[in-house]
Amino acid sequence: MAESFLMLYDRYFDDVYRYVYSKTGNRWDTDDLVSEIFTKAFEKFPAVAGDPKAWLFTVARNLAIDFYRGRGRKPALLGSEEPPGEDVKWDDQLIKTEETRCLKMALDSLPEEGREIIRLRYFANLKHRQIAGILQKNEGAVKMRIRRVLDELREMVDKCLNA
Amino acid sequence: MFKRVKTKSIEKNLMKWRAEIPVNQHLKQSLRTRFGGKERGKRKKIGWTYGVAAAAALVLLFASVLFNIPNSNRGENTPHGRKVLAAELNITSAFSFVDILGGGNLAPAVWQDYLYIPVSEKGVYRLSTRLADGKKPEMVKVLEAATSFISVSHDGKRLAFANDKGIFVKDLENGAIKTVVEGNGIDLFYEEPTWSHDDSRLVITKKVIEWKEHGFEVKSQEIYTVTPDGKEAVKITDGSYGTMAPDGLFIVFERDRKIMKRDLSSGQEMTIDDGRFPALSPEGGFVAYVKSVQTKREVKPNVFISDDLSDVYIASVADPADRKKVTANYSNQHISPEEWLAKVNTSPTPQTLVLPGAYSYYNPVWGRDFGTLYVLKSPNREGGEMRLMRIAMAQKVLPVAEVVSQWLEAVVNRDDDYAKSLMTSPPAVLTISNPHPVGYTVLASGSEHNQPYVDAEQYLAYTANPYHQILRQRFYLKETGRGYLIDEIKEIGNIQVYERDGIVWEESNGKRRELIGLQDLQPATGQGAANRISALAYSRQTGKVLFAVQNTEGFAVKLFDVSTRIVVDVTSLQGHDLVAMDASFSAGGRYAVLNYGGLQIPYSVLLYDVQSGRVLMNESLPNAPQAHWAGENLVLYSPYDGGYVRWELDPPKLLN
Repeated sequence: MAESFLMLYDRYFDDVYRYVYSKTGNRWDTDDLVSEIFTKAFEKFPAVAGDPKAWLFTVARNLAIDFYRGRGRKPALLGSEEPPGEDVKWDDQLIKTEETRCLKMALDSLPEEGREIIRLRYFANLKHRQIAGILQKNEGAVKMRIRRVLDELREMVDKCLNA
Repeated sequence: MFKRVKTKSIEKNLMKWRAEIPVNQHLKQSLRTRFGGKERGKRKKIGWTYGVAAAAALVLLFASVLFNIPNSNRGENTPHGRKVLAAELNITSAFSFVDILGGGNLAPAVWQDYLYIPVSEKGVYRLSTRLADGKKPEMVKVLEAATSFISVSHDGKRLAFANDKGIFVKDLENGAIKTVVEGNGIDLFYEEPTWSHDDSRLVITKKVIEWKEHGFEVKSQEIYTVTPDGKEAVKITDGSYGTMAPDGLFIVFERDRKIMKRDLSSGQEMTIDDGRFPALSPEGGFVAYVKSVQTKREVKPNVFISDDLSDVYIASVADPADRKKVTANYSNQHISPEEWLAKVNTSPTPQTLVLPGAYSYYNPVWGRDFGTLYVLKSPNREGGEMRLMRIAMAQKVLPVAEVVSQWLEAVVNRDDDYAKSLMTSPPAVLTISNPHPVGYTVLASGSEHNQPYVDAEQYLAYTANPYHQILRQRFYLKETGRGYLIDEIKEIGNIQVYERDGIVWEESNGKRRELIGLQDLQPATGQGAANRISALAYSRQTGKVLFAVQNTEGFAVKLFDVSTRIVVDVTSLQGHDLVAMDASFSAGGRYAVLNYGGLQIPYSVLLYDVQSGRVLMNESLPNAPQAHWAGENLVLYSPYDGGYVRWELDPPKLLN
């Protein structure tokens, strides 16, 4: 039996929310956009085919593009309104606090395509094949791209830490 | 030394960052409710289409399936069929929101989105339960008369009320008041008027008392129906607190501390349960009432400890065995049982320590459907205030983040009974005066060894002292028959910001760093004693500290940015003995609130928008409890003639 909409909603709401938050950088736009995403998804749900999570995030990405186009804005740099826990780390030593700040700066330096793939992998919690479906690339290419972006980030963080 | 990070560390930080993004659980739940209704609508449509095309037996089958699908609470229960069981309903919130102060235990009345609240010796107020965005609640006085009981007609046009003189009806449109029936104010009283299902009659109690040397004895209590002009009266039965079913076929009432039901055509009566103050739900399926339960245990030969707890229950009218306790009273250990036991000597005469409940509950009243119950509650301690609480019930189970969010709110709102009911093993003492919570936010949820947890922060302050604490806790939850309950709370982080010897410090994980010296904060204007900091708040999100720098002529409010070291003047307030009591930031740090007051200026709230630098609100709220943050919403208490009303403000609404 096809998964009901509510099952999809319960399973993926948090992932959609976090992905959108990583794009907007603030709660108010996130709330608006997430509401639109699920409303649109509910309308289109009967026609869903293939991987439901990948489908849901295709809906999400398309709406996010319209959202920013409509408002004449760009997606926020990752971490422009920092999620909780950023400035003071509870358990980590001081060096890891610097590491996080450097990571944030490194992410902000990436081109949008690199930031988006990080959002899809680490904030939307999507698998490589799901990302491949959304971006219409093959899975191998997605894996390689993510590996390269992580290497870029690592180099930029190293430079930042040792600056 | 050259530092190198590993790719794994990058990934780990990204995932940690992701987990720390707070998901808006309120939005999640409210959207789900919306989609849930629409999805059932789609299924019903499909079901009916199929049923029409099928044989009659299939039509009946689908009809019964539709009836049993859990649905919105409206109109799904009738007196003749049990579509939702009392036992299936879970408490989804139980907060106090109106303080009656000295107003007595007078039951409110509900009509559509309005609550009519009687206050002893003052009259009746009307409160809208549906507020426009950013608007504070208004208590409008609709009756200026002493009253002990009220009821609004089903068409909303008339208010019946009783007092020592008799029963009266006020026309809410033209204001005219007519007498229904009068007692003599000595030994004959008419009480507890409720409207019949078609508003053509009132169900009332006629009470006759006999005065004794000390006090009085109730000689008789009889239930009548009477026309609003008082000309026709028909006795129904002996008892009190009668309410008629929406189809007019039966009444529920109280007799000899039992909740009874009487069929109006056959006269047959049955006992539903022990209890007082019966109230029939609008669709007639449930009765709510207050019941006392004593549990006695022998702890030594002839020595007993008895818990005497009263709680609110609901029971199905069709099947009284289907009942549920909806409040969570607990023993008021005004005397320690252990200390008492240590002193008591066994004797042939039984000795019993009776521990009453921490609360007394009165007069439950249903909302627009069986999903809402309003109950008066009063703590059984000196100075305890009578408050009206709203209990929401539904067949759903609260998600874990909502359980924790509600617990945090119940603690700061002083609804200890509700807070304890959300725990598997509640402590004896839940709240203390100082430091006290001034805000909270839920951060994230997850699971550890298959046990769900929720991380949240509480913000604490010390009244009129320069102290602020950010306490991060991990709440572990356990699934029970009542849904998820908090099983364990572990501290996972703690930041304290305080002033000592003229220096403001931030202390975390055993390390301390200096933030700013008092001498760097410009002195408050005015004469008087040396400046001191009377309140401060710290936002971990933005790295900003809000100070109130105090002297005897008032205080200056300042905002300090830890990273840039810039101090910004927010405002200053003048007044002899004006004191800033505490301060706090919203969860994201964009807004700050300061509670203050003095001998000549009543308690007031100042709301400041850090981003725009504007003071959004500076309002006097005499005698109200202090404002606090619930995530990004500001919880305020607006005073009215009889007390105050709790409401939530979303600060961005004030910016429009």
